[in-house]
Amino acid sequence: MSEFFLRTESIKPSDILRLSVTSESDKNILAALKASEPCLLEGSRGTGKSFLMRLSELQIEQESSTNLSVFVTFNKSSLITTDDTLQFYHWMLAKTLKALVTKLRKKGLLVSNLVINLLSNDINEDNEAIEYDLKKIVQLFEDSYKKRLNIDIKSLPDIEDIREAISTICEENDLDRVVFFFDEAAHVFRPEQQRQFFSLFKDLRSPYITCNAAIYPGVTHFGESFEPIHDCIHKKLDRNISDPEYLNYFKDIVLKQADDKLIKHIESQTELFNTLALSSGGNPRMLLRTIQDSEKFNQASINSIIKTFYRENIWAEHTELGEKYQGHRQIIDWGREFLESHVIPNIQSYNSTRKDRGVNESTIYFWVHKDSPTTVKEALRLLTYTGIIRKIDSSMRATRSELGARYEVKYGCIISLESNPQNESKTFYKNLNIKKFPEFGKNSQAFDGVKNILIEKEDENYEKSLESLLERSINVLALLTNWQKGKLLSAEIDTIGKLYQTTEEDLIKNISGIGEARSRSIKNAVVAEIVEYISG
Amino acid sequence: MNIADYLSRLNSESQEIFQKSLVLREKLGILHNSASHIYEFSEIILDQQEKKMLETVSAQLESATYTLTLGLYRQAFSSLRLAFEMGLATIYFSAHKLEMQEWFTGHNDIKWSKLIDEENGLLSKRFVKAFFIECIDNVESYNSNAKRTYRMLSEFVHGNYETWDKDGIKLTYSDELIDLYLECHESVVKIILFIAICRYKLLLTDELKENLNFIPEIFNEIDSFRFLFGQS
Repeated sequence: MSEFFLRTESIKPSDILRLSVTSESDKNILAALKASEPCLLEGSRGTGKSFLMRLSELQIEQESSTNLSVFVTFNKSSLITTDDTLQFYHWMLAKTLKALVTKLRKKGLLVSNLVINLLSNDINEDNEAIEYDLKKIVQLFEDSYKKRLNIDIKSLPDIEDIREAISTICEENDLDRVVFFFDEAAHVFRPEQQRQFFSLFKDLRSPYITCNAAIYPGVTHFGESFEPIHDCIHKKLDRNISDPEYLNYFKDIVLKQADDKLIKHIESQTELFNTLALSSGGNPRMLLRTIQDSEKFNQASINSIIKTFYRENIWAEHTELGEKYQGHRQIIDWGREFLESHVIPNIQSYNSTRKDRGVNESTIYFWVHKDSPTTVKEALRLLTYTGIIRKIDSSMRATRSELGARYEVKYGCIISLESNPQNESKTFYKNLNIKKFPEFGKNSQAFDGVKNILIEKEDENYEKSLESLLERSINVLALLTNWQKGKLLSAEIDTIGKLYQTTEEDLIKNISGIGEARSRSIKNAVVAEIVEYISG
Repeated sequence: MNIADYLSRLNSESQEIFQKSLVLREKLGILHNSASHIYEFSEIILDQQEKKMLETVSAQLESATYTLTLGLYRQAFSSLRLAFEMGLATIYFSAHKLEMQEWFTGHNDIKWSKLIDEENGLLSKRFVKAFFIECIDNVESYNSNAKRTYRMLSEFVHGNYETWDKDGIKLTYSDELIDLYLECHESVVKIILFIAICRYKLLLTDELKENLNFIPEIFNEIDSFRFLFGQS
């Protein structure tokens, strides 16, 4: 099979334009990324966020010589584990300004102060130049987070100095604005770093600066100063499989990279391609990967790759996240268990019942009550990050008018369970009905296993690391009201550990004035604190 | 016309080309940025001799580009070739200290054929296997690109007939030659940085990697470089 580019990072900038395929919704996102308002682009892994940002970076420069676009990737770093939030902020700032300096150099608007003296005899550095200031700022921040020098944080330039430096650069070089593109921004497993990032995102706002960032669906900690509704345009990169243009769009993406032989296969076996494209659930990387990994482009091979990828590989990748982020392992494992043992069997049974009855309806959707335990929501959040599920809406009315969130399970994860996915797919897709879904109420039995998973650990070191948190007073829980705290203290539930170990039923039974709703919100407060802690 | 008038006239023609070249701000910016990357790499090297050599390569690249802006295209290509040889020699010598010392004392020369030898040279599987085995599949293409680039540059040095045609003896501004120079310059810097990363990979601490954050951007097609710098 053809070799594909599976990640934007591997594509040369000169190839980005050639490989681009843009739907109406992509064009809408590109317009937002090119506008002067800041934009957050949300999407699961592999949906094409980086590609669209790179494309708009190139288009901005093609369309106007007065806008300077700067791409910043916050990749993994040793600093990512720092406890000092200010250090992380400074690290981001230094990285951002360094990328700006490089871009200015590439554009011929700035010269390297290291290199200028190599040929010239005039070694006087132009200390007054604004470019010099910018480099000095980068140096100070780098020294600060690398702890090379004992720097008084107060002596560091504040964000106002940086905005000022950038506006001077723009004025002196006839630039209208600098557009920053932050890729892999706001680490999904680190709430505090998410807050720091959005703080920087907002702090950089000026008439001369526009910030855009790609974020994952699980990123929800925007901090106190940032409100996604007011402070930016928030775009979601959702490629809906029900969209009439969906199949053509994905076909165009593949054809741009395919060799002649594959193009011929795709053109002559459209149904096979359609099954693969729908299975990917709107994820170009998964589509390209399944085609690339398929031995041949025939029914047997395609069925085989769909089964291998959507029954095994995709889940293995999700589980691997737990290995990488040990603190979240229990939640990640529980989320997988919930999907595999409850959601998917429910969907399957729903579909087979209708099939047996000759009703032309099928589903890949499910609904979860809005007051479900926090741990359940956290597990679902991490499943949206991997892209196994997609949140469609968050306030959908279901049975008895109860409100909840509706999710879509990746099409491939459902169709791969058939013995011959390719044969079933066409009718299954035609019968899909978004209004039909199994429901999981706030006290669903499927949530039983979620209780206490956060500290049920076999790893002693892990337990030890949680010890200090569990011994803390419940007074630190910001989500509890004073009334609730008072009630808990009077029942001698005075530490986070004790509260976590107390069940909702015990809270209701032992404390007057605490019913079903309050016990759930009290438990949610303590779970949120522990989740935050294990993320740090 | 005396000799001073004659040279002044050449200088003034050269200055006209210089002014015309300055309009190509972005192209010149790219060249300067690339030469700066070599300098930035030299800063992370601990060995003072190797560091100094790579610093000189950066200066040589800047000198070549300056010559280019004056319309002295043949000299620019020739200087670029020198920078290329010195850049690769630096990395070669870093792994062959005896030969380096002999070179410093004038008892050994930099031999292009030795640098580029497919079996035992710098851009050989053997060399890369020893220092950064994950890049072993990339080395062949860098070796052939190095040969191709060197051949192109050499044509200007040896006075190949075709290049005489391109670069007339008169001082004349040429977009075509500037673009060719840009292409060669990009290859030269990329090849030097490729083998430098392979050679010094083991020395790269997280802090040093931070200083070289331009590497994954330049080599986005090499997975192992992206992974080395913490990208996916």
